[in-house]
Amino acid sequence: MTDAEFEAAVGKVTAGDKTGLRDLYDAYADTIYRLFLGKVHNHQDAEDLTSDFFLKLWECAAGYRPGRGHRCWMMTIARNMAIDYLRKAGRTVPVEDAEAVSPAALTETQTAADTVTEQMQTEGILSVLPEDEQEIVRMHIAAELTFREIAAILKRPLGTISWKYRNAIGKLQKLAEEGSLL
Amino acid sequence: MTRKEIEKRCREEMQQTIPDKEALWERIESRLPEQQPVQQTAGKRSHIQMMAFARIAAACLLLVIVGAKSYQMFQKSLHSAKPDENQSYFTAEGSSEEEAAEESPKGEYDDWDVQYGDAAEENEGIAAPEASTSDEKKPLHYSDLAVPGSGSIHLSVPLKAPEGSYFSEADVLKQTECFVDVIVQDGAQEPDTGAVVYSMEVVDCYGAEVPENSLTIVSDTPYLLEIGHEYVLPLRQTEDAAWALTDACAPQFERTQDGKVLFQSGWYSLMTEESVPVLCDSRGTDDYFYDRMYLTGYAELEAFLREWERQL
Repeated sequence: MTDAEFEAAVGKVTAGDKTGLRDLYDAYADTIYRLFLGKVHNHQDAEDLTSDFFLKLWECAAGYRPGRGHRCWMMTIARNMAIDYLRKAGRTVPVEDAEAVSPAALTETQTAADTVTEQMQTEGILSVLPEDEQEIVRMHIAAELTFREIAAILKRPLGTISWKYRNAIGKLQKLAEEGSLL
Repeated sequence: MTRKEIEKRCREEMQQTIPDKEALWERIESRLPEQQPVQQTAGKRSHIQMMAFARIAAACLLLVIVGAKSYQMFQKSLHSAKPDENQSYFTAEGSSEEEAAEESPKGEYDDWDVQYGDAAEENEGIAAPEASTSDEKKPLHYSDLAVPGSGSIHLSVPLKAPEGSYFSEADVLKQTECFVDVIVQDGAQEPDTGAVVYSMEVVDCYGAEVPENSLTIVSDTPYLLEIGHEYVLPLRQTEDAAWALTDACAPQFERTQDGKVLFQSGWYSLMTEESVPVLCDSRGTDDYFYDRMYLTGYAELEAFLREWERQL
């Protein structure tokens, strides 16, 4: 969806026309769902959050200011919702804990390699990355956000985002070379 | 596997779609309110506008009537040989009740008062959501704050925030080893590096202890610290064991002499309903914070820092 198409849909939403929201839903429901899924790791919760997201969009569409990049705006809302949800559920995973599963540390022993394999089987290859790197990879690949947009959403320096992304892909590449990537 | 292949693999893995997209839409649709909030606002607005219009129309009508009556009186006074008759005109003596009601300006004012009163009350109720904006804190200007006189440091080379640098509360808290409450004693720009060397007197410390009572910090922050002003600075130790600002791309906490603290909105944990916006003079096109400053009680900052200290 282009910015112009998005603005047209938002215009409909603010006028109370449900077809505007349907247009947004058709264009972004899967992307938003994937982002939520990456955060909450549960299909039902991701679906609930997706539903809440579009209801929120219905309420706050008038707050959208054209020219600011609609994907960035939507992803910020989605991310905040996911964070709120995790906080309420008491499921915030500290970055340190997530980093404890770093491939560099795990591939040293056979047991660790097994853990990585098992983790990848159940949660996908991104699960071997720290939470913050997973999020950046998801935003860049699944939501097709630019590094600049991700930096704005995560309020991190642009250089940090691109470095973390390269680092994440590099880790997966290393696992692939070692034959540990499923 | 090449980098592109890895990205492709990730993309494939992230192709999960909503299991039943149509069912989820139906769920969303069923929860949409019948009447859209914006429409309600528009409805309220048009009602408010109608009420305002009615009031203006009533006022105009009143002016016309009063004007006509005054003109009539003026004419009568010109043509009347007996001024007393004019006096009794307002008392409506000798005139019918109907005439009195019609002619008495007081009666009309009474009606107007009633109408105005009702409209005002009704209008108050309608306008409440909009009126709430007036409850928003009125911005102060930096010059309104209880801070010492300006002791600006002269810059021969302008300072600029590094490209692509963003303030992040979480990052700053993570990297900071101590917050120091300092009073800037002196500052001068180094001609070769362009950085400013600040000498400060340490008033208080949160987190790691700064061993000395005085501190020297070299910083290229474009958000200059003023001589004689009191700040609370997040510091980290560099490789050569010197103390440096954890974040140089945003203004620092500044204490006022009446127990308040000025902070930039990036410190979102400190943003409360009590925070008052403060407008500062822009330092130039690269000043991203001059209109993002807020004032809160120092106690709020202290509690925030104590909590940070506790989690160290």
